[in-house]
Amino acid sequence: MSYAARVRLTRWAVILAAIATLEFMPRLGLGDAITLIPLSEIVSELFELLTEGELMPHLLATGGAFVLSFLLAGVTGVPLGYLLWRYRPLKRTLDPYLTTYYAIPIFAFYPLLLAILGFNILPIVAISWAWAVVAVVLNTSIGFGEVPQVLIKVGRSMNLSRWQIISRIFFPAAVPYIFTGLKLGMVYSLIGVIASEFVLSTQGLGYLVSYNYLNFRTAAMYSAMFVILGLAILLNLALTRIERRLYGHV
Amino acid sequence: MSDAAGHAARPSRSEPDKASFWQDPVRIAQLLFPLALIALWQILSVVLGDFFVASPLASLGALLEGINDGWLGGNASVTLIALVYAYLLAVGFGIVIGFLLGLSRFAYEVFEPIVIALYALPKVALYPLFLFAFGLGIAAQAWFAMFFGVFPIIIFTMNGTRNVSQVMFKVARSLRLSRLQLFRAIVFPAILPSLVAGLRLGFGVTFLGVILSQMFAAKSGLGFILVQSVSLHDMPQLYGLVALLTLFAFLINGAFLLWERSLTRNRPMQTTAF
Amino acid sequence: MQIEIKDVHKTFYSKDGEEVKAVAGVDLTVTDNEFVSVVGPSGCGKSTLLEIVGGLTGLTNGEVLIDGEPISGPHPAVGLVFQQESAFPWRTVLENVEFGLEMHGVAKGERRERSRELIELVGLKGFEDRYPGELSGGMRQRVAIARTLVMNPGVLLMDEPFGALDEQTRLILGEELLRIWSKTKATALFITHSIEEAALLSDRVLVMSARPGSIRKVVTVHLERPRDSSVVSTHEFGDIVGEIWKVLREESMKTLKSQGQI
Ligand SMILES: Nc1ncnc2c1ncn2[C@@H]1O[C@H](COP(=O)(O)OP(=O)(O)OP(=O)(O)O)[C@@H](O)[C@H]1O
Ligand SMILES: [Mg+2]
Repeated sequence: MSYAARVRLTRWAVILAAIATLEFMPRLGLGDAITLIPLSEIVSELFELLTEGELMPHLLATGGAFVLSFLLAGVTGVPLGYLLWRYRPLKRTLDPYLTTYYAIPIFAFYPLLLAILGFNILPIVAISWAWAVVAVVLNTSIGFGEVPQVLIKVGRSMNLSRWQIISRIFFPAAVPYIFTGLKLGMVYSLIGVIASEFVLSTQGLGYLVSYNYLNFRTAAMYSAMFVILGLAILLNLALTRIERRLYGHV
Repeated sequence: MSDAAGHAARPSRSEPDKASFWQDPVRIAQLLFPLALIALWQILSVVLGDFFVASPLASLGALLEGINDGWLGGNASVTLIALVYAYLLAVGFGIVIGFLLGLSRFAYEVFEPIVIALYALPKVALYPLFLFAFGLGIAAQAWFAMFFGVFPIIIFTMNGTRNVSQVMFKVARSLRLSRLQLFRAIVFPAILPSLVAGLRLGFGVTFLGVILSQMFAAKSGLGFILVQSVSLHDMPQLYGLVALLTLFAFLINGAFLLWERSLTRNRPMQTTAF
Repeated sequence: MQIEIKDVHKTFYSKDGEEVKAVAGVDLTVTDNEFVSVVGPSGCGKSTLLEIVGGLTGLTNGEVLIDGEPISGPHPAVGLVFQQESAFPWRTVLENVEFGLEMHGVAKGERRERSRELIELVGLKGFEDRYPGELSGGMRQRVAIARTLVMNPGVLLMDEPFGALDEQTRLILGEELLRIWSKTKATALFITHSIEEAALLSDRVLVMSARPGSIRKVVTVHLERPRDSSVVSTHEFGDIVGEIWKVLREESMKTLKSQGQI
């Protein structure tokens, strides 16, 4: 067996072992029977939720807030990143604050936004955007900075127009970095949406977890958790795939 | 480690020139930035009114009142205790796990994608599991926040360890160093900069985890007070707390950054890692 | 001190179980206070051979003797300078140079004194308190050389210590190395990919074959010592370089062909 195959096999063994623990611990009576429920029961509960249509509105609410905040982060983050790269003094001024940004518990601003914007989708989108956008800005500005000067010189030596240099050389050279920023932005906005729904809101998958927890509906709570984790894992897998497809050769 | 002579020669190296500091407009802009934020805050409070935005002064007043009444001190200490526990746990687990994963190439390749995926998951939704396991209270908050903060520490320690250049190990072996010497004199100083970067990011995430956990099903702590001030619509208290938390995180992070700088100042990136 | 390399073979097994024969049957004796260089096409097993002598890599077959004793692991009298940069970026020049002495428990006063001597010898006086990151590549390699020499090695093994530098710097540093070496009386085994450097420094130059490495030719350099880089322009020097290049060219062609590069 090749080394790479051995690595992959071990990784799957680790993951399956973790899942098996979840399944068998409660069955063998390890852990509290009310709080730990075998995986198979959770899956059947999940199936019920799906077929009875209870899940759908929450799925849509989470999906909507996620897509909206991510799109906003992309649409605002890339131009802001460009500005930051273009105006060096601006970048140098903000640098210490940008490196500190993710050290601040940004989520503390969520209650504040709730108080201003009310209990609806707006504060959720706003906080998730705030969480995501700086990752996009930072990576975009780094990306533009990393474009090798010699590539620009190649363009100039071929007498390309300014626009051609930007669109055909500059931008494609920076895209892998921008993509990394967008990928992080996507991950962060999902985390932001789930967190705000979980802590304080009236709908969404995060809300479903906290609602079911507070009402002692343990199986339903677990199934909501599984939907969230499942979606997040799918998102991650998809992003890795796309990245490998696009930049596997770089 | 250096003797007196070593220190005496040091100032010859280029140090930031005190005179030019004030002539650099960027430096001045950096100092003015927080003031600009406060000014913006003040303007917003006037424009939007104090139903939406409490003025900086009113917020400061609410905090001072909180100190007098005792609620600020009490809840802040709950948050601090949870934070200290959580961070100690995250640092302990993070360094050990990260170091072990970084030492073995096989372990690294097996676990790296799992660690990255766990880092990227919305782990907040798993908080009820911690409540089941540890009951309502500081223990659940601390373990949850450690689960948040441990990943950056693992990732940075792991990559730092992996990137110790192979030739450093060869130097150690050719000088017949003991394992302890290898660790103390070579591996530890080599990974220290990435370790500190991990500690810095890990602290931010742990802090976030504590605040988040105290916002949910808690009876005390600053996160709890935040949520409470929303339901009471106590805007000065809300704004004051948010500003306080931001300032606290900013200062701690700044201290870590200074430590990081002092370590990397003489290392323009790790020299070629073959 | 004397190095005897007897029919040394080394086969690596990659993680997928594939065999890579790096060294195949090298026989060589380096006598006391001799300076021997090894040249060979890239990837032919030069570093592997050196690390076997240094006791860092085990061998598949054969044996290595130092002063008649078979080695098993790094020999206390052997000093190594590596192909990759190996100065510790977190230590000053002085702290780098005294590292080995410190680890072996030499008292502070004594190790300071010896380190300062070596720093002066390699021409880094005045830079004792600088960090490697503040120095040029050539200076950093001199730090690594001083760190090895301070241990007073009877056998000095050097793997392309000036590999990353340009030709002029390399020749000038080579000249300095000769000056230092003549004071240490160490037996030297030196790897390089520069024919001129090998000819300038050595008593004998070994040309290795394409992988798996074995010795294709031994060229004896009869130029008088002490030498300096002015010998480069003499006829004898030109002849020696030509002789080495003839063999090396063939072997390098083989390597490139096997890699599909030509
Ligand atoms: N630890 C190892 N595992 C597997 N193969 C190895 C290992 N070390 C070296 N090799 C292989 O052995 C061969 C010889 O390597 P070595 O480093 O000795 O060559 P070299 O002559 O020093 O090359 P260069 O001139 O590039 O420094 C190469 O094909 C290399 O890929
Ligand atoms: Mg080599």
